[in-house]
Amino acid sequence: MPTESQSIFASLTPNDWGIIFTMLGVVFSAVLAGIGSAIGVGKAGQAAAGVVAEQPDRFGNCMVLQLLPGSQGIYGFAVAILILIFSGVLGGDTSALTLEKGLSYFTASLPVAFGGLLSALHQAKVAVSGIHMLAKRPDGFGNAMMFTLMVETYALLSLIISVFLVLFA
Amino acid sequence: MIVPMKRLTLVALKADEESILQALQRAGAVEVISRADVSEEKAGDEQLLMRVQRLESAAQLLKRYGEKPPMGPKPEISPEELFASVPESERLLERTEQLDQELVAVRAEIDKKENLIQTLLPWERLCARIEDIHATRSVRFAVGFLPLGGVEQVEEAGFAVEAFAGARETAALIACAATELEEMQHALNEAGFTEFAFPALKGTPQENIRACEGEIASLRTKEAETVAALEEVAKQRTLLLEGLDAATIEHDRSLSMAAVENTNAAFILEGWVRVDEEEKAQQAVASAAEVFSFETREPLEDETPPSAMKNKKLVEPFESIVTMYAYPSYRGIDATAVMAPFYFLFFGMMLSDSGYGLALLIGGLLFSKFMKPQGGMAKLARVITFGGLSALICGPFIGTFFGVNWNDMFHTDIFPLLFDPMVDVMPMMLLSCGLGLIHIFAGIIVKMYMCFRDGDPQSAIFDQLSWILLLTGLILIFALPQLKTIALVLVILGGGMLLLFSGRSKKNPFMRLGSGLGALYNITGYFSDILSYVRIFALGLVSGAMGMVFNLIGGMVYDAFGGLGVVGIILGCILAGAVLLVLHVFSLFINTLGAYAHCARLQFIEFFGKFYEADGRAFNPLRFNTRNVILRDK
Repeated sequence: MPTESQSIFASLTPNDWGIIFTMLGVVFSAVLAGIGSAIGVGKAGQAAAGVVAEQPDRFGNCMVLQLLPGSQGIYGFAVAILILIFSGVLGGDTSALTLEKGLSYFTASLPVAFGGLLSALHQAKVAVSGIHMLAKRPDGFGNAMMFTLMVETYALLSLIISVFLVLFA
Repeated sequence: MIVPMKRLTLVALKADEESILQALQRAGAVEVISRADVSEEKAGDEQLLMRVQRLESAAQLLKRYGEKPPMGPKPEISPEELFASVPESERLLERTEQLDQELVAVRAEIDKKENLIQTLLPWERLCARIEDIHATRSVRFAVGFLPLGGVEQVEEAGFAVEAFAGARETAALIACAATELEEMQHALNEAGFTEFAFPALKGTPQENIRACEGEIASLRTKEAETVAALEEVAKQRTLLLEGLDAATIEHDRSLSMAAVENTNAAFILEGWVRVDEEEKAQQAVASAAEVFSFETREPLEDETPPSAMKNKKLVEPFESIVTMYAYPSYRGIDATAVMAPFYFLFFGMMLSDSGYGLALLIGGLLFSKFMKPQGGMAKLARVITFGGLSALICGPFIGTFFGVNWNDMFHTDIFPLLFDPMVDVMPMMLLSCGLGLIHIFAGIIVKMYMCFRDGDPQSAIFDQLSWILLLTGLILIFALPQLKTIALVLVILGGGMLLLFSGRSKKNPFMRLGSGLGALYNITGYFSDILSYVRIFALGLVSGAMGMVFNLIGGMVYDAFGGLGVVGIILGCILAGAVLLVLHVFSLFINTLGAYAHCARLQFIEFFGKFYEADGRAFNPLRFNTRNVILRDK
């Protein structure tokens, strides 16, 4: 005799499972990368406010550095949208989604989700240090930006792999 | 290119020193070299430095009282007008400082009076005059505060208490016969009494409080008057800023003056002058003095002249990217001209949207025209303008127009002319990496040129050309298998050269082979460099996807009003337009920042890493250095 909970899952068709996993992929890529960027931009923003309080003319440079850890959220967002479009959810036609397809989309979201989350957090640390450096050395903007961008590379690589997986899912 | 420098030795009469330096500063062609014994901080006229600082803080102060200056370029004036403004700005500075001091004094006085009122407030109802409360022949007084319940305790001990209850303590005046003083003090100690001393005043506390309040009122009027006067002065803040620039110019000159060697009757100025400005400098000196010796020579081997870059007008803005990394070494190479076309192309490919490109192009042109930015800002604005142009061109090939597919716009199916990054992923990625390979080869070729120039053809062939051969060969093996023999020859030639000749300075054959293997290991570095160019594809994809999604959102907003007839269409258009505007401005900003920064990174790490010598120092001649005005050339 199937129990109550078994029967709920048993009633799901492979198509339903596909939709569920596709949605999970959308959520993962948008939310995890977004969390990373939100924390990152937040931390860098605090540091920037501290510097700008003393040196208002550093505002432009500080803001650019603050924004750099923000890109991961956008990468996650882009992947989420790509999944929505390619899976047909955004077009309203999800009938072709199978369990395999759904799992592929879910897997596709993982690189940008975790790569984005962790790289944003670490990029924020570099950005904060860069902003502090800017307070002491006004001409250090180029260097600070480069240090911060070094971390970005790995978010970009994650993004590319995620995009590949979405397109070939 | 890096402008050659000449070492200048100028000898002239001391009497002409001031006028010669003025003329040189106007020409802006000579960097004065400090005498060895002058340290940076000590040099220069202290009084001038003081004036610069005073003007700076006055300008800062007036910022708070004036209205925000209107947007627009800095005022444009001639040097004569700038220096003519000095007496007037001096007057303004003194007036500002005087008003500021008055304001500080008035506010301190108000604070003092308010504190006095606070002190006297517990005693407000005391009718006695303060000067009357003192010991007489037979009576002693104690003035102070008693805690709650203390009054009763003291009264029980049999002393007269006049009490004024407060919130936490009671102000109390206690009297006793002179003979009972010790008992009273004892009783007071028991009750937890704290003594209070009236300030030296005349009249009752209440009279004093009223008097203070009256004074505060008149002080407040004075404060308001002073603030109004400051606001009036703040209207002339630009004049103060002009004075600041004039003072800075004078201070700069005094710094150079301190760097000059002096004898009794003459002075010797050592400096660097650009070869193309030698004439100009000489004429400047000739216009200021009749007797002088102006001699220049080539820099010696052990001297390091400052670096100044000179490029064609089209390429010049990209100097700002190079200097953001570091100034080129004087004997190195100015990479601006080689870098600029790549930066231009990569920027466009990363933004890859004609609409955004058009917006940057128009915005950049308007900004340069109407805000008249100077120096580094002007160059940066032109780099962004060029980037916009590049994105405008790249759009039809690999991108979109404000996120809209070209095909949807023109009802065709030929766009994008090259690849759609969202469909032809592999070709787009190969294109990015291929361009990266060309970029890296360009870097290696520049290095080869430098090796030949420095008389080291062995390095050029064995350490540089070998890599081009090896990489070309390896790629050919995979890309065009039908040319396998040629590819293999290239690989063996390049790899062999690296293996056998990298350690050519080493005698021991095993050591030599070891360094060869070490050099070959660098192949991983080259591959990660090439892979790094995938970011061109990735950023292009992101800007395309963002634009597309934002259009989708705009469409949803419009559709939401679709069922409401004509009103719905109008409302939908307005709202969707507003939403689209905000979203696209955001996307433009983020993607431009990304393209700007990542293009710079590709230049700095992947390209400059191959050849750039970055230990240069900027050429910083004595000149009119203004921050608040634009000086007109005559």
